[in-house]
Amino acid sequence: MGFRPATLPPNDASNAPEPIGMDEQLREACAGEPKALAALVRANQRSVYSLALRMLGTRDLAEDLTQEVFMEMTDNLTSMQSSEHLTFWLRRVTTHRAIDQLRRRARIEIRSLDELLLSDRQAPAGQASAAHASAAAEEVDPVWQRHSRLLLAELTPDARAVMLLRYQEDLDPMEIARTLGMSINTVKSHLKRSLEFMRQRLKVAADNRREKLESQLREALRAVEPSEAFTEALLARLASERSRELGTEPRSEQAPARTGAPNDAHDAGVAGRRVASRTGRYSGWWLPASLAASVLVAVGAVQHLKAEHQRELGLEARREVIEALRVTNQKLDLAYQAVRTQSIALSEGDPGA
Amino acid sequence: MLVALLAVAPVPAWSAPDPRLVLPEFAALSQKATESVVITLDPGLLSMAGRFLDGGDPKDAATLEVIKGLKGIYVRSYTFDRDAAYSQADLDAVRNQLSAPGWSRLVQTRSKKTHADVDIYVMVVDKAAIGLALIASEPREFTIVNIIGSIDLDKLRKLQGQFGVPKLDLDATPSAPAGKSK
Repeated sequence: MGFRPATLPPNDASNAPEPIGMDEQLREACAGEPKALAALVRANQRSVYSLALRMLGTRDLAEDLTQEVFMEMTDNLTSMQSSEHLTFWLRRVTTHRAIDQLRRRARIEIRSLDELLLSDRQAPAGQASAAHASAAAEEVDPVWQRHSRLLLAELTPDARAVMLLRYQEDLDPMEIARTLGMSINTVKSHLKRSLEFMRQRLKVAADNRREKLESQLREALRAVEPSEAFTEALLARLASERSRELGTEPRSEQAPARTGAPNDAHDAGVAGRRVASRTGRYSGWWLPASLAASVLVAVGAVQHLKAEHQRELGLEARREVIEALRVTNQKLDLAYQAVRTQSIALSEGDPGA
Repeated sequence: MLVALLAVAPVPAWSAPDPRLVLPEFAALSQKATESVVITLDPGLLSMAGRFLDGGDPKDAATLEVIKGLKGIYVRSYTFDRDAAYSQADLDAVRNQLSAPGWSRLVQTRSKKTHADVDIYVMVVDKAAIGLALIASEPREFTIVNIIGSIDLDKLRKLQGQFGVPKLDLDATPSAPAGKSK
C-alpha cells in the first residue's frame, strides 16, 4: 500500500535548508544511481528519524518507521517533482504513519533501554551538528529538556505532530496545516493548548515570555541523527531493493557487515537485526555475535541506568534547593521591606526615637 | 488495667523540640491553584544536591554555604487567580504547631497596603537556632517554609538577586510612603 505523493502546494515555502544539488541527486536517484539515493537518505534521515522517535517514543519503533518511510520513498521517487517536494512528502508520510500507529496503540512505552543509551551517545553529536546555540538555549536545564520531551508523549498524536513540526522542523502554522492536512485554525489551537499544557506541567513561571519558552522547546526538540550502523544497514537494504527492481545484482548481504568498537556493537546489532529480519537474511555468524554484544550491552546498561538515575535525582535536588531558597528569600524580602518601612515611620514620627 | 498499662509504659525522657513541622497536603487548594511549589528536601536529597553544586561557581558556592548544616527544607507555596481562594483556617494547622515550646516569633509584619502578612519563627536550643518557619500570606498567595538546621539568614540574604529576586537597596530612602505597614 503506497502513500501517494501529494502534489506540493504552489505557494509552499518550506524553510528546510536545501543542500546544494539535491534536485540533481533526486534525478540521479530516479535513474538508479545508488550514491545519489544514499545522499538523499542521508540528507533527510535526521528529520524523518527524529520525527519518528519523538512521535513514537522508542528507538526501535522509530527505526522501523524510518525504514518504512524510506522504502516507500524509493518506490515513489519518480513522482517527486523536486527536492522540496521530497522533503514535504517525507514529513507528511512520517507524521501520518506515526499518528496511525499511535491511534492503533493504547499507549506507547516512552522510555526504553535503547532510548536511554541513545540519548547519551547522540547528544554530543547533535549538539555538534546544531547550527545554532542560542543564549536562551544555553540556559535550558538538561532535566527540563528531558521532561519536556517526555511530556510530548502525553499530548494527543495530532497535537504531538503539530508541536514537532513547529519546534523540531521549524515550520510555520500554514506549512504544518498543509503537511498534516488540517485547517490553520486547528493547528493554531493545538499549538496554543499544547504550549499552555507544557507551561503548566513544566512549572514555567507565568512571567516567562512565550518566545523564551518556544526557544527552549526548540532546543529540547532539536533533531537527532540515527546511529551510523542503522543508516548503513538501511542504505544497503534500499540499494538491494533498488537493484532488484532494476534487475541488477542484489547487495543486501553487505548490510550487517559492520562491526566496530564496543559502543557500536549494540547499534550494529539492533540496526542490522532489524533490517535483516525484514529481508529474512541472517548471515551465519551474525546471530551469536549479536547475542554476545547484547549481553555486554545489558550489563553496561544496568550500570548506566543506575548512574543516570542518580544523576537525575541530583540535578532535580539541586534545582529544588535553588527554588526553595529563592522562594524563602522572596518572602524574607516582604518582611524586611515591612520592617524597614515601619522603622522609617517611627523615626519620622518621633525624631527622638 | 489502664493504670497498670500506664505504669509499665516507657516514660518518655525529655526530648529536644522538633523543628520539623507537619505540613498539610493542601490537596484541595492545589487543585484550585494556578501555580504551586511543593518542595521536600530531606537530608539525603540535600546532600545529593550539594554534590551537584559546583563549588567553583560563585553562585553555587554561596548556595552550598547556605545549605551546609541544613537537615531539611520544606516549601509549600500556592498562587491563585482570585482573592480569598484560601482561608486563614487553612494555615491554622501550621500556626498551631508554632505555639509549641521551643518556637519563638522573630518577626511579624502586616502590610495594609499589600495585605501581605509575614511571620517568621525560629526554634532556638542552647542559644543555637535549629529551625526556621516562615508563613507568608497575601490575598492570592500563601507560602510556608520550614527549614531544619542552623540557617544563617545573613548568608541567605547574600544570595539575593542570584535567584531572580530583585535586589533591594536596603540603605536607600524608600519610595513607599511611611506608615503603610504595622
